[in-house]
Amino acid sequence: MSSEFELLEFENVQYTYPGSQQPTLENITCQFGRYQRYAVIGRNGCGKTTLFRLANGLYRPQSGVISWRGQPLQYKRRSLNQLRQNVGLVFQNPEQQLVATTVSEDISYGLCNLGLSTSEIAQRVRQILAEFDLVSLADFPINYLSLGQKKRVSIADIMVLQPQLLFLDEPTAYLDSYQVTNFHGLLNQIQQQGTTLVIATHNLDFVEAWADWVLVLDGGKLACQGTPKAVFSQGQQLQDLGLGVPLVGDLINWLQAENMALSETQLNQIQQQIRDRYWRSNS
Amino acid sequence: MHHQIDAIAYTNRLRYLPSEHKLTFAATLFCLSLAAPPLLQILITIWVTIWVVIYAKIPLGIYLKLQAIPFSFWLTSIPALLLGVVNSANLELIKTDIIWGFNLGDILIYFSNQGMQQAGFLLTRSLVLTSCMYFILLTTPLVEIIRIFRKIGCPSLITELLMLMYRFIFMLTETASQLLIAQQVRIGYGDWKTTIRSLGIVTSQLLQQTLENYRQICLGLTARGFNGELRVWSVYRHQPNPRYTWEGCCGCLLLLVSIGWFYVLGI
Repeated sequence: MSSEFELLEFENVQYTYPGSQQPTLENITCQFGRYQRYAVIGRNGCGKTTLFRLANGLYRPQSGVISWRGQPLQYKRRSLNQLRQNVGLVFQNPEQQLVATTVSEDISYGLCNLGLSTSEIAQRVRQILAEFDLVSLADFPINYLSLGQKKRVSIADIMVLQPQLLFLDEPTAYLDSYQVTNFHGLLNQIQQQGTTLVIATHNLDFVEAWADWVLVLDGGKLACQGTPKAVFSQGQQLQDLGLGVPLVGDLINWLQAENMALSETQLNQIQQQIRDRYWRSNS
Repeated sequence: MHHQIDAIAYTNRLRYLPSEHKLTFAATLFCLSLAAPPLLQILITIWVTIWVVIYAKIPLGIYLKLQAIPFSFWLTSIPALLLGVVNSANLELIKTDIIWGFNLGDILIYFSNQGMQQAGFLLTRSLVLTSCMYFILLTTPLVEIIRIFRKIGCPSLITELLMLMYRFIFMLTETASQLLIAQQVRIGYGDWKTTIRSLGIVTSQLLQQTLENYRQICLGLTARGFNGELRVWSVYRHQPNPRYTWEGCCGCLLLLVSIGWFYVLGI
C-alpha cells in the first residue's frame, strides 16, 4: 500500500488495561489506507474494541506508535479533537454513545463541540437526517427509538462530522436480519461518500463478500492479515483460531477435496457469483 | 409511570404549542392559585383539567391516577388535622371547635371544626397546584423545559445535569427491568427468602452496572469530542394557537379580577 493513501498506522503498539497483568494488544502493526474496506475479525476478547479505541485516541498505548497521516498522535485535547473529527468511532452498544434527548440534538452534539456556526450546524444536521432517512425522527426522543434506529442514529452522529476513517465496532450486533439488510445499504452509502470503513465483525460471509483487507486478531496479537482470498485460503489456521471459514471458502475447499475438475477461473467465477448474490440479497 | 408521563408529553395535542406559552400559563395559574380562595381554586382545578383532558386529549384515567398521588398524601394527613386531643379540664378552651368527641379517662378526643376547614383548604390548594404542575409535565417534554431553562439563563451546569439525569433514568430503569426479568426466569422471586436475596443482588448489580454505564458514556462523550460542555442544537417547530392564547389570557385576567373582588369583599 503506498504511503500517500495511508491514513492511520499502528507500529508495534501494545496496550495493557490498568490493573491487568496480560497485555490486551501486543505488537500490533497495521495500516489503514484511503478508500478501502477493512474487516477486523477474531474471537470475543481478542482486542478488537481496544484496537478501535486506540485508533480514536481514547486509550494511549504503553509502547509503540500510532500515526495519523504519518504524524505520531499527540495526546493533547486540541490534537485529539482534530483526530476524532477525522477518525470516527461507532460503539457496539449505541446506548453508550447517545447523550442528548432527541435525534437532531444528538446529531448536533459533535458539531457543537467543533464550534461551528448555528447555520452550518443546522444545515449539516438536516443533510445527515435526510441521508440517513431520519427526517421523520428528528424530534423523536432517543429513549423511544428501537435498537436498529439507535444504531442508525449513532452512525449518523459520527458521519455528520465527515470523518475520513470510520471504525464500526460490531455494527450488526443485536440487529435482526431486516435491520442488517438496511445496515448493509447504509454501508454502501457511506462508502460512496469516500469514507474508509473499518468493521469489527463475526460474520465471515459478510467479510468475504465485502472487505478489501482482513485483519485477524488472536489473543491480542495480529495473527494474519491480507485480502479475504488470501486469509480465508488458510482454512486450517482459521479453524485453529476458532474462527472457521466463510461459506464460499468452505464450498471451494469441499470442491477441491472432492477432486472436482474445476479450473482456477471457474472457482473464481463461483466465488464471484456467490459474493454477488450475497450482496444482492443483503443490500 | 415515569415513562408514561414522558410518552404523553410527546404525543398530546398541545405538544406543538410554544413551550414558553405553556410554561408562562402554568406559572401564572400557580401564582394566582396561591392567592385564590378555595372556591376559585376548585374552579381553576376544573379549568386546568379541561385543558389537560379535552384540549390535550390526555386520558382522564391517567390524569386521575396522577391526581390520586397528592390526594393519598392528603388522606394520610387527615387524622392529624381532624382529630384533637385535650385534657377534660381544658374543655372550655376548645368548646366552640368541637364537632363531636368522646372521653377516654381524663382525655377528650374530638373532631375539630378548625381542622376540618384546614383539611378543606389543604385539599383544594394541593389539587390546584399539582394540576398546574401536571399540566406542564403532561403537555411539555422535559427536553423543551430544559431548553427554556437554558433560554432564561439557567446555569449550564444545572441544565446539563438535568439532561444527563433524564438519559440515565431511562438507562437505570431499563437495566433494573432486565435484571428483574433475568431473576424471574430463574425463579428468583419464588418465596420471601429468595425475593429478599434477589432484591439484594439487583441493588448491588444496579450500582455496578450504572457505574459501568457511566464509564462507557464518558468514553462515548470523549469519542465525540466532549470539551467540558454539553452543547446541542435544537429544531423549533412550535406554532402558537390564537384560540388557546386568547382563552389562557382572558381566563387569567378574569381570575385576577375575581381574586381582587374576593379580597375586596373580604370573603
